[in-house]
Order: sequence, then C-alpha cells, then structure tokens
Amino acid sequence: MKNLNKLLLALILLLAVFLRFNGIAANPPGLYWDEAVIGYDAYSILRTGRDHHNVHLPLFFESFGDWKLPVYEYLTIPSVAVLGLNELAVRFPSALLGSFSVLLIYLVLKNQTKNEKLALCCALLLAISPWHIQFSRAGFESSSALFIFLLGYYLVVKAIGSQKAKLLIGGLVLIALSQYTYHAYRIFAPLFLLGLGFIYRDSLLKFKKLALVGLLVFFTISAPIIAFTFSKEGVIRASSQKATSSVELEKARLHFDQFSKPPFRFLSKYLYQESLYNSQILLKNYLDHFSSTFLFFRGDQVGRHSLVDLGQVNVFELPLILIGIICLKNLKNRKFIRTMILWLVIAPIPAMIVMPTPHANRSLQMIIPLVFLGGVGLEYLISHTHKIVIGLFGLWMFGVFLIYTNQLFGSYPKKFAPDWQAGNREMVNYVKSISAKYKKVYITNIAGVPYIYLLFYTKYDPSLYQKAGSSKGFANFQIVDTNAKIYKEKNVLYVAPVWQKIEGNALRAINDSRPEPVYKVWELNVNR
Amino acid sequence: MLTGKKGLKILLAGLLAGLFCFRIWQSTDCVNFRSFTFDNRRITATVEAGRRYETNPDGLLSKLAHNKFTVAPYEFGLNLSALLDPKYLLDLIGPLGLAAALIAVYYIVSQRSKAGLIYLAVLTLVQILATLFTSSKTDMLILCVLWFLLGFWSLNFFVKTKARLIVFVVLWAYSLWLFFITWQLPLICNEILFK
Repeated sequence: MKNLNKLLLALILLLAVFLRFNGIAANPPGLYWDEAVIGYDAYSILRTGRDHHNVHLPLFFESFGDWKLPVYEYLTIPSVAVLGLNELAVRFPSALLGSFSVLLIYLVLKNQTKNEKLALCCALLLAISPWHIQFSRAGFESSSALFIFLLGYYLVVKAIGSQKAKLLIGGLVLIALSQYTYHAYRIFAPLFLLGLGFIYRDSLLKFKKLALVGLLVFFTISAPIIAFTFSKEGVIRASSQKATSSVELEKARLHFDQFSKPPFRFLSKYLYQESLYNSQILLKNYLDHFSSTFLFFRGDQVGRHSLVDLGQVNVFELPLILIGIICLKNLKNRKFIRTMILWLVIAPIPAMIVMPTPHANRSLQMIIPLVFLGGVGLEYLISHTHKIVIGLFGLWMFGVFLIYTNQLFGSYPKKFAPDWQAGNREMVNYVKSISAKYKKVYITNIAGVPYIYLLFYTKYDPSLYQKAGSSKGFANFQIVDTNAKIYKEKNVLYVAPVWQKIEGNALRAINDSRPEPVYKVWELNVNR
Repeated sequence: MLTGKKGLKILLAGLLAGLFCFRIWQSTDCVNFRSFTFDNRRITATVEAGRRYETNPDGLLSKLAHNKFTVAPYEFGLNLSALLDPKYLLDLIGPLGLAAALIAVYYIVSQRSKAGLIYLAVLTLVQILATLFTSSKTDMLILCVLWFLLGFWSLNFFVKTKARLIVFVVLWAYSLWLFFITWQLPLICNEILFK
C-alpha cells in the first residue's frame, strides 16, 4: 500500500510538472511587460550588480507605474544565468515552485490529518487546478509567494507540534519573506498569523518565550516592507487602483437624487456617509471572490489570469467542495479545519481593496483551502461510494480535464495573444536583424513599453543602458508617439502600428500568435 | 405576553419579515426584471466561438470538445450560478439575509433536519426552474420569498447570546441602509421607473 501511495504521488508530481512546464517558452504566447522587466533586471544584476535603473542590488525594483518586490526578481537571476535571457528563464522559478507546491500540499495534509489518501487527493486537485497552473506558467510572483507561504506555514505547524525552535523561526522567516514576494501577502500574511496565533493559543502559551522570539524575528524581517507599504512608492499602485473614491460616492449620491423613489430623495444627504458607503463596496468586492460563476464557470475576465471561458477551479470540484464541507466533521484535527476556514475567509481581503474584482492573481491564496475542501470531498467519494459512482465521476473529471488541456495547449495562445503583448519578440528579432543598415530606428509606443522588449530580446549590454539609455531610447533606437516627426531624417526604419498610414517603403507586417498583424515595419527616406 | 427567547424570536422574525417586505415593495416599480433564462441561441454561438480557435475547427477533437452536449450543461450551470452569485443575493436579501441564509444552511446540514433538507431541495428545484422558464418577475418574487424564508431557520442562532443579538440588529440596520441606497435594484432589475 505504501509503495502504491508513493507511485501515485510520483505520478501526480509528474503530471504537475508537465502541466506547468510544457511549452512555457511559447505559451503564454508573449512575454508580458512585467515579465520582461523582471528578466532584464535579473540579467542586469547578473552582469553589473545593478538593475536597469542603475540602482545597486535594490530591495524594491522600480517598474512601470509601480514597484516590484525583490524575491522573484532575485530568484530569476540563477535561472537567467543558466538558461540565458529568454522566456523560459523568466518563467522557470514560477513553474518550479508551482510544481513544488503540489508536493508541499501533500506534506501539509499528511502531517495535519495523518490521512495519506486525503493528502493524495489534495495533491491531485492542486496539480490539475487551472487557477494554480495559470499562475505557475508565467512569471507571476503570486505562485512563488504561495509556495513560500505554504512552506512557512508547514514549518510553523510542525514546530507547534514538536516544539522545535528552529522550525518555528524558519517558518516565520518564510512567511515574512512571502511579503517580499507578492504584494497581496503584505495584508494576508499578518492577518493569517494573527488568526493562527488565536487558533493555536493554548499551544503557544506553553512556550511563550519561543513564540515571542519568533514574533520578534517576523517583525524584524517585516520592518522594511512595513515601512515601504506606507511610503509614497508603496502606495502608488494601491492608490491608482483603489476600489473606493470620493468621486464615486458623489456620483452615487447624485444618482440617488435623480433616480430613487421621489418621496425618499431627500434622504441622500443622510444616507451617503463615506465610510459606510465604502464598506458596501468592499463587501461586494469581497463577495465577488466567492461567486460560483468566477470560481467554476467563467474565471477572471483578464486573459492573463485565466482561460476566461472556464472557471478558476475545475467545475467538478463544485460537488466535491460541497461534500467536503459536509464531511469536515469527520476530520479529527479541529485546529487544522479552523485554520483552513480562516485561510479561506481572509484570502480575498487583499484583492477587495483594489479594482477590478474578482482578481484571480491577488486572491490565488484561496486555492489552498478550496483544494482542501475538494480533497475531503474526493476522499469521501472514493472511500464511501459505489465503484460505479466513482467510475462515472472519474469519467467526468477526465472529460473536464481534457477540455481544459485542449484549451490551454490549443486555443489559448491564439485567443489571448493581445493580453500577453504577443508580437514584440518577432518585432525585435526582425528589427535587430536589419537595424544596422539604418541611421535611426523609430519604434512607436503602442502596446505598452517597447523599450523593455528591445532591451530583453537584443540582450542589450546593461552597463551601456545604465550610462546612456532611457525609456525613450538607447543606441540608435528611439521610442516615439504615432504623431512624431519621422520624415525629417534620412535612412530611417520605422516600426508603426498596423493601422498607421506611412509614406515609405513597407518591409513587413509583424504578426502575433493568432496570427494578426500588430506592427508594420517601414523604411523612410532611403536612397539606395 | 410572550417573554424570553420565544418572544425575542418573534421580535426578530418580525424585523426580518419587515426588512424583506420592504425590499419586495421596492421592486414594485421595476419594469423589466433581470432574466436568468437558459438561451438556446447562446449554445450555438458558444460552440462556434470555441471551434474558431481550434487548429482544425472541423476535426474530431474540436467536435468532441465543442458541441451542444458539452456546452449545454455548462451554459445551464452558468445561468444557475448567476442565481447563486453572492452579489446578486446581497442585492436581493441584503447582508442580514445572506448571513441568515448561510447560518440556516449550516444548521440544516449539520443537524440533518428533514424539514430543512426538504426546504433546501425545493429551493434548489426552484432555482433550476427559474433558469428554464421566462417569467423573470415571478422568478424573482418566488426566489426572493424562498431565500427570505430560509433565513428564519437562523433565528435560534441569533437569540442564543447577547453578542449575536447585537450582530443581528447591526446587520438589520446595515441591510436597511443598503436597500435604501440601492433603490434602483442594480442586479435585480433591468429597468426601473419611478413616478
């Protein structure tokens, strides 16, 4: 039996690795600008010890309109060193840690429930989870943060059971580090620790000193991120996407004045109190993450965050989760159940304060309790129902899995090319191959920030960029608007949006993975 | 005169009923209620949209993945899930109704109450019927009443301690306020005109 379990675990892990690594260099179909900047900063640090903004070993990395956290950036350095500066290197840490999370959930469940079958069921559900696969296949920090947090949690609960100081300190260090990996954990990790402390208060009271030392370590490591959170840089992103605003409140009040039932319109000045009004927005944003449409039928509507036409969680997990909830009382470790409920309840909190909602990336941590509940349901189904029922359910699972993998590896790269800014690699490779012939290369500033793609795909020397480059251009590359005066100079190569009319010699259209043209390359004022 | 927990329960039931009646009254000016009805044309459209991105749209794999038998249950589930959307339910029965319904389901399931389980089965059946028939106004009214009634199972929970009683009162006031500011019933009604 033990050997069979080991074999099953090995198969599940193989499946997890396959689903996370298969073709990740080309699918997702393009390198999103956040991934490109992570990759180039890793390359820059590797070559010069400085990021592309010329900051020596930064703790926080300046990005496009926000600041990136350091853990994923530094994790990418060895990957770029070994694999070179390419898509695979940027996505490798995420896919690797995502695969390890499957092993980790098995270990957590085995440790906490002493039920190997349940641990295997949870590992299987995480291995084939569309939500987890999506964020493990790209250079998203959230999947790595989840692994680091889960490992930290595993060590902490192991330490509580065994009263081993090293494990507790190690676990808390990792939980603190998760805050340096992805922004959502700056809210989720402290709230979770607070709740966990309450659940395990009797155990912690037995070794107060150790618990206090652990807390001290946690807060010492967290101090820079706490300071960052309240700094100007730390709130840029949150304030630009804040869910609540006084303008929206005023709009709502005016709407009430105009469209509510006439005898009650005078109430608007009393009803629209800012904090009360904001509370209902936050409540709705929070509840959005528990919508069955979002979870099981249509996921996050951003193509980078899901397959859009399928839910974040496999649809067959809906009955499993319901069965799981009913069967929770069969589990003996009540504290673990409370921890999972706590996890599920606080997981969407970081996502509710910013728009849009529901947001699959900011609430990825929800997947662990959902997989746990689904796992309890699956284990019950396998252990307590007739073989025919198990067979039919297995068939359904397999069918859903086939539809999912067919979409992931078949239609996804074509359907969501614009979401991934596909076409930039092809554009840079083409421009690179002919740019030496031209005095100037103008590239229009459409589809985000082309300079980072030029740096990334030309592997431009970071020390040269640090000295003389900027987001407006470097070497003979110039990033321009579509209304720039491009006809002034002789011998110019111009990369235009496909819709722009140019008086010049069209060389080639650059297609994305659909394939649809994204750019058109022109040469202007060339005398040959 | 009724005293003690029984009296308290009746009082809470009155408050709950009053809140629910207020919400239903608010919807009387609604011209078009939101429909959750299953649309056959959407199935064809979804099948076609799914095949468009396949490498071989007319191939066996494409036909196996995108056909009426795979899409219809999905579309049906999608409509049903829209009826269970927590945001929609929040608009329909308010935070108190939602909390009461959750507590009620927990009580019914954990105590395996026969009457409660039958009630849940009826509620599920009505949800399914609401996705199959087109009278959106009737659907809304029946569903609203059924969800409200489910909330009454939670009253035992709220009368147990003073803290819970306070939670009930706070949620009641909050729900009333929310019903006021969402007089236009954004998720329930497609068009509302007040004279």
